Amino acid sequence: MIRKEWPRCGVERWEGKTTAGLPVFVFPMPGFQTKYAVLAVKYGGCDRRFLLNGKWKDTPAGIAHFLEHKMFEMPGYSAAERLTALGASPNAYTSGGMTEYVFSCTENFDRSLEELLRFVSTPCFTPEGVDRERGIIGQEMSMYEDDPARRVDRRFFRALYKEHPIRDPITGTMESIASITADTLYECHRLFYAPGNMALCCAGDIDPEKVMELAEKLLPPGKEVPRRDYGDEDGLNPVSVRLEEKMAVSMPMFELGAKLSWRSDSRAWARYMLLADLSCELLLGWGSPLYSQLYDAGVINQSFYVETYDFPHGGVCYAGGRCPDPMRVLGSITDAASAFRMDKAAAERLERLKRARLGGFLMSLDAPEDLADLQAESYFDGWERMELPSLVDSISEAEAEGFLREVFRPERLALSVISPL
Amino acid sequence: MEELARELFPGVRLTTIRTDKFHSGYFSVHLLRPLRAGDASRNALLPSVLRRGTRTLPDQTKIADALDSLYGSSLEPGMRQMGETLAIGFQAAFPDDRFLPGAADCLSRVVALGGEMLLDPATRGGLLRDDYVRSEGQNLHDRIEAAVNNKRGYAALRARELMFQGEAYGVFPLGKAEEALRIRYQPLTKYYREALRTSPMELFYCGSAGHERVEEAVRRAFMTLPGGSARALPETGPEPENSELRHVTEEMDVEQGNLVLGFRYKRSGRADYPALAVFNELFGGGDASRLFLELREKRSLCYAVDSGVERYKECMMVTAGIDFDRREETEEAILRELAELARGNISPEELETARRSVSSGYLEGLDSPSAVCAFRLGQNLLGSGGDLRQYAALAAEVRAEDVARIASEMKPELSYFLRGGGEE
Repeated sequence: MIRKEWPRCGVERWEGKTTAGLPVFVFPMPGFQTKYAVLAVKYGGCDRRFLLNGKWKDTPAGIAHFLEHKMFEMPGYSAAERLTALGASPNAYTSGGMTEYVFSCTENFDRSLEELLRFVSTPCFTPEGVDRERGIIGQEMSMYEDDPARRVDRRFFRALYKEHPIRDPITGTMESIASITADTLYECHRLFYAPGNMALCCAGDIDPEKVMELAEKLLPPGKEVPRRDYGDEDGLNPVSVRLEEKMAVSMPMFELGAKLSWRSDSRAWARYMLLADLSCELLLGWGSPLYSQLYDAGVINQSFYVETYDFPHGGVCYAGGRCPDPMRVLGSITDAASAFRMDKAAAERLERLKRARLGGFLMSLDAPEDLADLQAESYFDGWERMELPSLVDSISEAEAEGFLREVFRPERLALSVISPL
Repeated sequence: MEELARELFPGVRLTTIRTDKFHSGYFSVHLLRPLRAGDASRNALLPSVLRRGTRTLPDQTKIADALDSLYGSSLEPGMRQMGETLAIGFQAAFPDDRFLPGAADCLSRVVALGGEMLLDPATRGGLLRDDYVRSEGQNLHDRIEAAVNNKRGYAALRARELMFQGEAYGVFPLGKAEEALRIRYQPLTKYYREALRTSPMELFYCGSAGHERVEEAVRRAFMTLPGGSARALPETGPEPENSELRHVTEEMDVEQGNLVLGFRYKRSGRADYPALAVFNELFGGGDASRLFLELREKRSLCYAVDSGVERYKECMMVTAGIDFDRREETEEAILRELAELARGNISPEELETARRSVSSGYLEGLDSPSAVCAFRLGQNLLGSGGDLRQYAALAAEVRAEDVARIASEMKPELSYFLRGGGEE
């Protein structure tokens, strides 16, 4: 393993690769009680269509998430229960582009890590187990159905994308998961859970060489992962300008925003997402003239947020919250963006936002979970997260101005609304 | 970690926790107020109004600019409920000076801003600004109404309201929506001054700065805090006796039903909390708990099921998201598991798992400046001295008898079900 250090940030990282091809990263954090590990697989909700023996194969929406739920089942025992018995807290998450298996603990780190490596590489599915899981996932979906924040988000992606799988829920639907069998799960595990398509990241007061030794011993080799397809490029304008539905909420909830044009160069994409983030903050964030104008007029309130989000072959920037009149927010944003000039006040604000981003980066180094999770994410995305400060530095005023004029044009925006019954 | 507590003024305590572990520092200031029906909205409103502007930074844009300049420091209004007491105030996080270029001194500047926000707000004619009070009153109203958006949370709130009718604990800490709209700036200013004068106060810092440097910064920032009155919380009355189990059903347009079971228990002593926490973990708190394994893993009754024992009030709430037609089955299963524990049917393995999980949770708290301070605030309120390490050690020693005794003391009082309308 080699040791890298960022002395100005007070961070060191050990990294290496097992013979089977699994990349391993360890952030030693002396004095911390929490020891955290994430074994991440570059396979998520959007990975549904892939090339197998020269033919494109489609799998049902929700398959990666279903697999995540089922992985904890081991021959004769539950990996989750065993980890908990060791004193660890296990969990797992599926996003658009990856599945993460994690645990945190304060004791028995090595034994817990062994269990993590073992269960993620041991598929064990039975028809009965798969049926039972369908019941649990069904309840999970019903819970999400009652969550207006999830529904407004779902509609937003539906409004933006025509082909990209991000338009479907990561959990799939009752119909789509009905066709999942033990065999489909075995096949997807065999194809995608290969060391070269995974990363192990750990943080805490732990011995890097020991992590490497266990990974070397326990994670078997795999094959090359199939090529994937995320649908045809949809163009940058949304499919629908506005989608609305009704449910039991107190006042309308909305989300509005635009697709971002994807870049295949990973560093360029990371930089572009950062540009999006800073520009949106500049136009709409707490402290922007537009924010205070809308807040003072009672159009928005503390629930207002502005964010960016990316997934395989795509990304979005969006704003949302609860508000009496979403159309008015939409109109104000497009007006403000078209009138936006990088005058002295805006340029100074951009500088402050960049400075704030630097502080935020420093503060994020205190959480073992964040360090390890974000390492896995940026590794898959193909850029070095520890270089974030210099990436922030490189964002120019002209770029931010150009971004706002381009992305917040009315024809680029989709609006999703949940209104009261 | 080295901890030092001292009284800055009568009833005003500063606790500083020094450590080099973090890249960030944490500071918070809390006024302790009793939870009461008449004051709830005013307590909830005050921090948001004060956060709108100070004398030198009279609007949100200026405050945001100041915090961005301090490398993205945050200074958030907040309200934390601990049983029938509220802690209202502000909490701040900021990068540690050691990692910043030049002499940034985020600590002193953030503490100064916190002091100004609490003591020297933007005013007109010496009173809190009418426009800020109206606008935040409207926002508070909307926030209260929005409780209905989160169906599980709403069911839990309704259950609490029903079970603790007539007790302070039954009061929604944000107050009532219509009240929020009625609050005017003159009476709020009066309430604010009284709260500043009479509330016990707790201030916390956790980070790399020395105790003296922090104390100096805090004394400077809070120099104008009015003195002269006694700062004390009213005594809380005895807990009422347990009453019969009653069933309540309400309807809403929902896909999934939410069941809430409310229980009361009698606490034997303040130091009992690690045992309560282990009981809760074993019963329904964790992913290896009886309820999780029995209701979710074995029977696929639900995706989410939780139990939560309240530390500052003698009660426990269990919630489960289920199909509309499975209320009875779920309720029976929950009560059966509790009875099993009360009979002492506890395996050494599950006890050990729960103890480890609770111990580990306490120790993990040591890795977060805000968690360390939040724990100490709770301890201060209960008059307990133990720290996170001691609690971790106590949790590791909890016996099966302790868990069984606590289980036998839990008496169900309410079964609340929020379900969709129409046929089952």
